[in-house]
Amino acid sequence: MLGRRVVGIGSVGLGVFLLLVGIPMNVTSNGTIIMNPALFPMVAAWLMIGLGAIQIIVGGPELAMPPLSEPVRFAIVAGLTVGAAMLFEPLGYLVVAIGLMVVVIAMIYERRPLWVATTVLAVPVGIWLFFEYLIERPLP
Amino acid sequence: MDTATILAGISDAFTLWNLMFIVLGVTVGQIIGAIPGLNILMALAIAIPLTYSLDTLAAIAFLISVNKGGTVGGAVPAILINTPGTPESAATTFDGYPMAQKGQPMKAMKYSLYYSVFGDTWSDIVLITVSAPLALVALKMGPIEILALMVLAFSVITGLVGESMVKGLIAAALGFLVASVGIDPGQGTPRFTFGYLTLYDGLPLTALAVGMLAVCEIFQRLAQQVRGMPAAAAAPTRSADIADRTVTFKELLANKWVAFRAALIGTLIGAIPGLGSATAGFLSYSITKQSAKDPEAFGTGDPRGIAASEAANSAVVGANLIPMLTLGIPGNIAAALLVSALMIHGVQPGPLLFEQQGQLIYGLFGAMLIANLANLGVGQVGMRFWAFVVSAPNTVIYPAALLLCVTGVYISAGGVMGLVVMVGAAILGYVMRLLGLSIIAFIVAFVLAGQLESALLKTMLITGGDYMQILHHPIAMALLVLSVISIIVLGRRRPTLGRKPGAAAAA
Repeated sequence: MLGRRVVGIGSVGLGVFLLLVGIPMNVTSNGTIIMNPALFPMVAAWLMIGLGAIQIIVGGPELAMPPLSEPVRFAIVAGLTVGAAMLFEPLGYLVVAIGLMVVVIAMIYERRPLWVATTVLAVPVGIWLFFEYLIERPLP
Repeated sequence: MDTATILAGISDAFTLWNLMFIVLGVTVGQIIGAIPGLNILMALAIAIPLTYSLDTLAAIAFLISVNKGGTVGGAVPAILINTPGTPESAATTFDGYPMAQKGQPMKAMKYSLYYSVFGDTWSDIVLITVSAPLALVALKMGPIEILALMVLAFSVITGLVGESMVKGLIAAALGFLVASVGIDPGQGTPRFTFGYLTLYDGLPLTALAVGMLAVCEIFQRLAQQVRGMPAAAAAPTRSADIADRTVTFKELLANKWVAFRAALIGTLIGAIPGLGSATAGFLSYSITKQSAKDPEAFGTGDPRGIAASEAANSAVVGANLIPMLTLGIPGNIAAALLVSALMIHGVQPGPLLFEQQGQLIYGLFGAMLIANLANLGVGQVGMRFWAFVVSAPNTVIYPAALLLCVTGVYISAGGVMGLVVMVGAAILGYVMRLLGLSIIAFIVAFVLAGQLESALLKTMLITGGDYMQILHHPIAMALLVLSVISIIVLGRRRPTLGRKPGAAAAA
């Protein structure tokens, strides 16, 4: 039952948070009479509250949630990608890209030597060559 | 517009450099379309960062060619393995796969190629014919009318996409909120920048689009990937009888009215913001089947089924540029991505485009027509090879696509900060898919928010804050009345029960 209304509850909650905390703390005005910079975010916040309230009332189909392992693995891959991004400049693109591919291919259980070699070596080197030499955009 | 500008524009499309990018785009599009799990939007999102160093025409011609190639390539797995490479080709499975099962896979692929190119060319001609006069009409509109037009566009788009209008509007509100990060256009003060100077220009659209459309899908596929996931086995494309491998003119012309009606349906659907190629394909197939004297023949490998689906879904590609080029309103995500690509190259889509960038626009039209020919040529030669692509293992495709996204965004969207935005957008996209919130509504809102806020600001300056002044603008009033009607009509649509949230979000 709650699952059918979670979108509405979340929308109202986000809208209220924006009006009470998010907008006052993060939007400043220099006091001139032209359109208030907070107007647009406030319209968005009020829309969320109004529409969220409607969504709570009308409900909707039950949300089909995936098994817990999926969002966990999703978060791991997302974390790995951000980690790789942080390491590009200190370690260099190719080293980090190969490392990222090694971890990803281990996560998805690929064991066939040809495909492992393709993903871990040919893909990073191919992409590096493409950016560095074909379109001449230097990578770290 | 004078003839010299039109001819100069068209001749620009014929430079060797542009021709090369058109053929490359079509080839890339066909290959990506042929890989089940990758889709045209992912291809476009990944391709945008690659076009930064190109001139505007080459960049846009390349992206449109990817889009066009993708609709052709999507039919290959639909025919060979009964799995549409792109959602657009879903209706092609109904007759394409049975024809392949009857030992005529090459024939089915050629039918799909020819009808697809026909539908695409038809809608391009409609685009070229109607867009300039429509832009002239649009030029007569002031900020108040533009504001009202945007309200109408949002009410139609959010009413047509996703599970329900309420959820569509929530997604759009979220898009507006995310778009308000950066410097406010009225006073020039920062909003939601949290002290980061890099956020003063707003969130990079490329990183956001790649994150929501491509990386989100890739993360999800990698998260779902389980041990021993086999590659799909494609039907063999070789057959002994030449009649099973070729399509004659007589056979093509036998379905000319089906193809013509499908192209009309696709063009109409494409011109309406919010509806997409998949809708066109299914609607056309359904109408063709219902109006046939022998509906029982459909689903058994009937070429009319392929004609109905492919001519319609391809006709959407050109037509969905009509609202984008004439009004500056992207009707779907592909158009929104093209808008972002134009903006990256300093070009603002809308009616002024015809006045200020006439040569570019006609160059684009020329490139679109050339891309159709390239689609035909590349498809004719490449179809048998794309059959191998269908069987490529996901364990290579998704990591490679991830690295391409990471590298492209790193290069084009501000280094590490761009990548953080990309991953954040992927997470937001995942949550939105789970909750059944439309990603189309979000991205269209994000892209249009700047224009909407600017129109609102100008309206406030013109009216002095007195909204009753709108009553003196009959066109704006008519558009607002239409908005209310569309909200009432489309808002009464029941939420689609049993629909997968992910599918709804991508709708």
